[in-house]
This record gives sequence, structure tokens and C-alpha cells, in this order.
Amino acid sequence: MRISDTMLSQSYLNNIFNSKKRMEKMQTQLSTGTKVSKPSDSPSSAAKIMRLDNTIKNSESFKRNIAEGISSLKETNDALQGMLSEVQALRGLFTEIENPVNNQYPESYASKIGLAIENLINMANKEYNGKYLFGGTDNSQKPIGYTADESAIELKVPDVSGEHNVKISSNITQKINTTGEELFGTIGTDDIFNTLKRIKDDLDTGIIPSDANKQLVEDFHSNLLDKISENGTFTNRLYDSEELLDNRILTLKELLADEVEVDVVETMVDLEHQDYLLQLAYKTSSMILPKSLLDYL
Amino acid sequence: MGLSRIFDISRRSLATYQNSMNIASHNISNAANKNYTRQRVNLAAENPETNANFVWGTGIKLDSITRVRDGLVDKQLIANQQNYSFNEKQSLMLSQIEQVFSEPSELGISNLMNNFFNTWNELSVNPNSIPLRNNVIYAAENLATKVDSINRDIDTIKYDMFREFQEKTDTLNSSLNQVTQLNKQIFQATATGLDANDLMDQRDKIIGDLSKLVNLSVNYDNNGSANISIGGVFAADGAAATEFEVVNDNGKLTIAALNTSNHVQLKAGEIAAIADIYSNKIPDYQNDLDYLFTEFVRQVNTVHSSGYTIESTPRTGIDFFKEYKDGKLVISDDILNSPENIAVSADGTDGNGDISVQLADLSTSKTINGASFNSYYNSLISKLGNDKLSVDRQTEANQMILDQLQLQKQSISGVSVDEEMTEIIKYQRAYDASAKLIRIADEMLETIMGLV
Repeated sequence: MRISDTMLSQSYLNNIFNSKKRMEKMQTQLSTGTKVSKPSDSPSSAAKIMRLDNTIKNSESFKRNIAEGISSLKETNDALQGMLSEVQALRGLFTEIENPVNNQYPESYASKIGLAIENLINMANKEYNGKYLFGGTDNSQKPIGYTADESAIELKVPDVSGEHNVKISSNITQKINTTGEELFGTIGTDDIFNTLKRIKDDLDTGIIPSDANKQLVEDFHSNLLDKISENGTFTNRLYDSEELLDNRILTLKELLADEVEVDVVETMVDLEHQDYLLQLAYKTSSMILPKSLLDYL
Repeated sequence: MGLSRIFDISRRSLATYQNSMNIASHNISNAANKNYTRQRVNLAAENPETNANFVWGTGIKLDSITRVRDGLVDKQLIANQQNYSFNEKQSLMLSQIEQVFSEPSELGISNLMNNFFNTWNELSVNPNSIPLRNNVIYAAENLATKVDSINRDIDTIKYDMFREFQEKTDTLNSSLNQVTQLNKQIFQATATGLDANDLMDQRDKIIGDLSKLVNLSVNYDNNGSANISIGGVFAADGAAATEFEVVNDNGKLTIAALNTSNHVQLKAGEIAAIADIYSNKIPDYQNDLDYLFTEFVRQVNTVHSSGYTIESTPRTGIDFFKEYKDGKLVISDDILNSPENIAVSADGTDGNGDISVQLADLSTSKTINGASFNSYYNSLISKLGNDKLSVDRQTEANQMILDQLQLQKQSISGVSVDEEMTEIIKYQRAYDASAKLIRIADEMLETIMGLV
């Protein structure tokens, strides 16, 4: 093959150009820390990265929901515990009233029960983060209160049965509230508030609480215990889901790192090697390129 | 038969070697000129004389000066240059489009759309929370801004591409004119028996440049004129050049001979690359994007309008997005006026967030050609990435072939200073010898004169 002068310089330039192109790619990878900075670097990796990234973000969003749900469940638990101790105190009170020594002062018991009703109503109207804990999904006003003539207790909103459901993973939806309906039943006559009101009214007129009314309070007591344990189950489920999500996020992040991150050591070594070759090419060319017959004439 | 014949032969050989030296120095001075084709002196014995039944040699003559080149390599160079330029130009333009989407990153549609659905998910925890409702609106606004900027940027790229297409067509026209001019000059020169080597180099250079622009084929006729046709349409010969104009036929770019319907079949070169990206690739991406967001708006609205607002008198049937039109994603005025108009309550109570759960579920439901919004979008990005990657690889392959061909061309047509210097030494010696011959003839003549 005939070698002309431009050939040497041209093929030299081509090689230098290729070498520098490879170095440019490695340098970009090192300085960005990622193997895929645009889709064409690896279309399949790019799609995978976007998918993993989204799944991680979704899991983080579910974790925020769970945190929110747990604090809401805790508040509900506090309110239920408050009601429980109130009702347990009432049961003690009823036993006291049975005692003939005490049943001469029914009015004093009436006022104690009146206070208990106030407390229970306050707890039933407990508000957390702009929501009434036992108000179902209607947060327009306090769900429970006295009627205008204060003769009975009634619902102030049309409905307290609304369930509050929250997504805690891509396919699990969890109820995070105890509805007023579940806890108090239908408010009107046999609910805890109106029962206590009846007992109070009876005591005001000197009648000790009837067994039927006391049974209704007992019923509420056992329902309350049910709800407290249900609430605990919900909370545990949320904690479990949170842990699962944490593990999932960790796994996903590892997968993402595999896809995205540059092996710094390997790339550095490759880059050094490439740089060495380039230096070598420069040196050789400076020795060879300018030579021609002219140097020897 | 006299002594004067020695003078004649020597004088002729002096002139011949001096001319040969000229050519060698012409070659050397163009050693670094990439477009130069080395010229070779063809020396031949002068026509002999027959005298007294003897054939007498009459010395040397400069028969011709020819360019040393290989027609096959030239043809392959032209063909490969077209492919290389086509792929390289496509790669360049696709990388611009790729940048517009800014994937994979926090700023891409993928993440913004996912974020939009996540804000719905989080709203379901506290459906009456105004800050969370505002988050939904912000997320929608961020998404809308990105969608808008992508569409605007693509429009700008398309506009720039159209301008470039026109400029390249202008370049094409002026180059074709130059080829015709050079064809004429070369014809005139050769007709008067002159060598037109340097003019041919100029013409080759222009044809080389043309092959970067467009798919052309070149034939040389008996007059030495280059006849060029582009994609089945006559472009230039020794008499005339066609003027091409840009044709934009319903968004399909092509070129045609001026005032005719002779559309060029664009296949290679930068002009074809621009036409392909402009007419096929970009509309394809845009269609995908348009379809995605039309469906997105429709489906979000369908779910959203089934919910109730949390105003004092809850309303239903409210659209979240006004429309997706002309590449703009518009949030409805109702929503922008008040976050209370976000309708996520299934029953009209303000603590119900069932609709927001349904909206969050949209992100995973496979409702758009059997894919979810994000995977549909991901496949668009994959398509873009693969398009770019495949032209990148082809460019690389073409580059290797082109480099190889250029080396071959240089190997045949390039100047080697070593070679020329050797030639010069040869010519110099021959010149020396011829000059000496004259002196010897002179001495011989003197000897004879001394006899007188």
C-alpha cells in the first residue's frame, strides 16, 4: 500500500479523536456519577430507572399516608381510652348508688352523671387535624350535642357512618377511623348519651338507675373495648406495612443503584489507561510525523 | 545527420525535465491540501525520424499530465458520505429532542406525573385539608408547565430545522450551479487541448460537499462533464443546473425542481435527515405525547367529575383539567379559583376522599392501550432513546468505513513528499546529464571548428 503524507496525519487524527471520544464518555460518567444521563445511553435502563424511581416515590408517598394514619389512630385510641375510664367510673358510681347508705342523695349523683355526659360528648366531638374523630366523613360541625331544649342528645350532622379509607400500598386500602355509628350506634334513645341522660333525669327525681339502663351502659362498655382492640389491630397493621415499605424502598434503591451508578474504580482505571495510550500516541507522533526524506538530504 | 541533433535532443530533454520538476514542485506544495489529487507526468519518447533507412530517436517529450485517482473509491466515498451525513445529522437532531424531555431526572414528565398522582394519594388521608389540596394544584401546574415547555421546545426545534432545510437547499442550488460552471470550463480547457486537472479537483470537492447534503448519483460523459441527478430528478450537467425549492406538503418536507411537481426521493445526506426527522420522527413523538395527555385529561376528568366539592353547598360534575389543546395542558378555572373545588368526596361530606383514592389508582390502571400512563410515557422515551442509539451506532459504523475509504483515497491520490523528492532527484540528474550533453556537443563542435 502506498503511504502518502496526509495519510499518516489523518489516521493519527482519527485515532486520537476516537481515544478522546472514549475519554469524554468516561469523564461524563465520572462527573455525573451516572451511567445513564440521557435515554440513548441505554434506552432499556432509562425506562427501568424511571419505573424504579416512580415506585420508590410511590412507596414514600404511602409511607407518609401511614404516618398520618398512625397518628390519627393514636388520637382515636386516646379518645376511646378516655371514654373507657369515664364509663368505668360510671359503673363504680352505679354500684355506689345501689348502696342504701348512698341512695339518699340522688341529686349529687345526678350532677356527677351530668358531668360525665359533658365529658363523653366532648370526647365524642374530639377534633384532630380538622377532622372530627367520630364524625364519620362529615366535618362540617361537631357531630354530637344537646337538642335546642337540652332535653336529649342528638346528631348534629346527617350521618356519622362515613368510613375513612386510605391507600397504604398500591393494592391495599385501610380504614383508619372509628365511625360514630360503629361506636355509639343510632343516636336517639338507647345510645350511651341518652341512656345516661335518662339515668340522670331519674336520679333528679329520686329514682335509682334501672337495670335496663345499666345494661345499656354495660353494652356500650363492651363495644368500647371492641373498638379499642380493633383500633390497636389497625395500628399494628399500619406499622407492619410501614416496615414492609421500608424494606421495599431499600431493595428498590439497591436495584436503582445497580442500574444508574458508575463503578468509579473501574471507570477511573479505564480512564487512566486511555490517557496513557493518548500520551503514547502524542509522543510517537511527535517523533515520526515530521520526518521525511527532506531530513536526510 | 549533424551534430545539431544532439543539441535538439538535449534542449528538448532540458525543457521536459524542467516541466517535470514544475509538476513535482506543484505536488509538493499541495502536500497538505486534502482535496488535491496528485498529478503524474507521463514522459514518452518523441516520435522518431526515419532517415537513410535508419530510425533515429529524437529524445523525450512530455506526453501528458494526469491525475492519479481510483474511480471506484471515489464512487464509494460519495455513497458512504451520504449515509454518514444522514445518520450524523439525525443523531444531532435527536439529541436535541432528547434533551427537551430531560429524562431520566426529577424534572421529567415521568416524575412530575407520578408526583401528581401521589398528591392525590396523600390528599385521601386528609381530604378536607386545604394545604394538601393546594399540593395537588401545584403538582398539576408543574406537570402542565413541563408539558407546555416540551411542546414549545419541539416547535422551536422544528422551526429551526425548517430554516436549516431552506439554507441547505440554497447551498445545494449554488453548488449545483458551480458544478455546471466548472463542467463548462473543463470542457473548454480540454477542447483546446489543455489539462484541466486543478479544475477537476475543484469540481470533485464540490461534489464531495454535495454528497454530504443529499443522495446524488454522478456520471461522467464523453465531454468530461459531471452529470448529477438527485433522487431521480435531473440536477446538473454541462449545460444547465436545476434549481430546487422546498416543498412542505402537509408537514412532510421534501424538495422539488422549481415550479414542477418533480419531488425528489430523499434517502440520504443531511437534507434527507432533516426531512425525515421533521416529517416522520417528531410527528410520531408528538402524536404519542398528544394521545397520552388527551387520555390523561379525559380519564382524570371522568373520575374527578364524579366527586363532590367541599364548598358549603357541594357541587359535582366539575372537571379538573379544562383541556389539552395545542400542546397545552390547562387546569380548569374552577380548580384554580379555589382548592375547595377539588372534588374528591364520593358522598358530599368533606371528610370523604374516596375519589382521590380512585384518582391515585389511575396511575397504575392499564387504561391507555393496555398500559398505564407512566409505562406508555416510558415506552415513548425508550423509542426516542432507541432511535438515537441506532443512528449513533450507524454513524459510528459509517465513520469507520468513511475513514477507511478516505485513507484509501489518500493512499492513491495523496502526495508523498518522499516520492516527489526522489522524482526531483531523478529529474535533476537527468537535467544535469542533458546539460552536460550540450557541453559535450559544444566541445565536439569546437573540435571540428579547430580543424578548420
